[in-house]
Amino acid sequence: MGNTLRSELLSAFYGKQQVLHRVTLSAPEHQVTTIIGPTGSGKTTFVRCLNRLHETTPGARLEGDVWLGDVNLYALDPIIVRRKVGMVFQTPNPFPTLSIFENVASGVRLNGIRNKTVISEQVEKSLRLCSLWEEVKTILHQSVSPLTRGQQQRLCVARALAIEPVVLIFDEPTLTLDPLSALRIEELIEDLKRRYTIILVTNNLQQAARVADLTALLLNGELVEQGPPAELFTRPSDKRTEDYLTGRFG
Amino acid sequence: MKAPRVHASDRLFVAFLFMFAVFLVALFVAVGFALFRGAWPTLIANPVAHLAGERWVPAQGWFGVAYFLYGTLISSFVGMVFASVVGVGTALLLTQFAHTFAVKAIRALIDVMSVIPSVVYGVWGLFALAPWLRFMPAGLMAAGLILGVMVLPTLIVTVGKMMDSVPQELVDGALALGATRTEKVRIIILPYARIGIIGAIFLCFGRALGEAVAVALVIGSAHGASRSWFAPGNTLASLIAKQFFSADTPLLRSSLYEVGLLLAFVYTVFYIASKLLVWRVSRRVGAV
Repeated sequence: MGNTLRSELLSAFYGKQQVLHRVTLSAPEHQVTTIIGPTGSGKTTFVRCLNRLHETTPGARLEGDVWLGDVNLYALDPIIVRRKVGMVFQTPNPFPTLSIFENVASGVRLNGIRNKTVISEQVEKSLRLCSLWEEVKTILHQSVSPLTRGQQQRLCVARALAIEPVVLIFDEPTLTLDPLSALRIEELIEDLKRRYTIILVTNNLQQAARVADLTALLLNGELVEQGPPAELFTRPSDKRTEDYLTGRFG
Repeated sequence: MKAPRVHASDRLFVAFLFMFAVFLVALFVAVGFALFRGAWPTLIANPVAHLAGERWVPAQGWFGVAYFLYGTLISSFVGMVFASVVGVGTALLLTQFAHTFAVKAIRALIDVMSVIPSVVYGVWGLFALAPWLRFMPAGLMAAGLILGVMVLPTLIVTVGKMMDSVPQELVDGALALGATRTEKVRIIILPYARIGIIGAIFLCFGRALGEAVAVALVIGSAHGASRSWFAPGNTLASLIAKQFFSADTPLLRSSLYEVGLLLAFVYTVFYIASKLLVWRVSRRVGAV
């Protein structure tokens, strides 16, 4: 099973409103699993259940389980889970009061590492993985505000990588980026899948077709169909998938 | 082409709003004028030498305010240290660590407490707090604590709002890295809200500097006999509150006006200092 991330009959609620209905989905190791679906279909809620962020929202609860390999994530401390399942958000959210270096180092420190050399090495390694090192190595101790949005987003990826997670979740990471920056994030995701289990939420079907090894369609909180993108996009087995792909939803 | 009428009404509205601003400026000028007119007799005589000196004995013509300045600064300082520590801590608890219905009720209660008039706190301090704190006689320390208690609700409410205003995406970012609630506070909440928190503390400090009634009730009465924080004393504001209406000589009355001017001056210095501090903090790396 390795580091396959799997949800089992996952239902999520905000108060009385149910936003996910018994979703069962597997995201295998070293592959990019994309989750597509119109706005409001529960994609973000779904991935927030995977790293146990969902439960931090007041009034939110869920049923079902999430497994990483053979470990039930809902049997662990959520703090531990979030250090194994990293997340990159829709809007780049570097910590504005910290320097570039400290943004990446903050995660390392949270893992209990205090040795300055180790922290520096880890920061450099993470920034290199996101091909950001060359761009920022001379301004490491300056504020993040001069960085472009694309650079800020890659910094957020570096920050997530620095805590050495097993799974990486990207929640519409290119939504607010220009096309070129978006492309760099896509290349980065392709590159990272050799090391991680990757889940990519996207509203962009071309993007899903480009980077996905597996694609799943969520509609109104239900998993409609999942499979390799080539199949799902060309020979959908569910009428609703066809409707969505031809633009009759969302 | 005729100018659209919408535009005319827009200008009218702005002019209307401008009137309020003019009113405020006029109010400021009027208060300043009243202070200066009242203080005029001693101001033209010898303003600085008149108030310089250690002792305040009107009957002998001594109007030294050094001690009251000291009393004002010490009591406000004590109050602010107390209120800052307890207030920031409480605000953290209420906004970051507990989200139950009880917490919402407590926040509502604190909102109400922040509008209780200061005289109520003063009377409470006089009758409830002072006997309980037997080791603490009337004086600067007691006055400071009353000031602290008095500004505490406002401080909690303001600081809590600053903490609430930290964007959710940043909080999520910290949580997604596996930050505990304490680490979230250290990495995101406090750094992000720090300017607002400092601002709130200074706002309350300003209120404490000028608070007269509550202080007058618990500070005892002495005009510079002892520097001790635990002996009866006075502040600039409490001095005015206690002596103004019984001031029977023109010289004393005018001197009290001058004390009022001095208090306004202390305020101004303090205001500029707080602006400078906020500016310096926000200029450091990555301020928001």
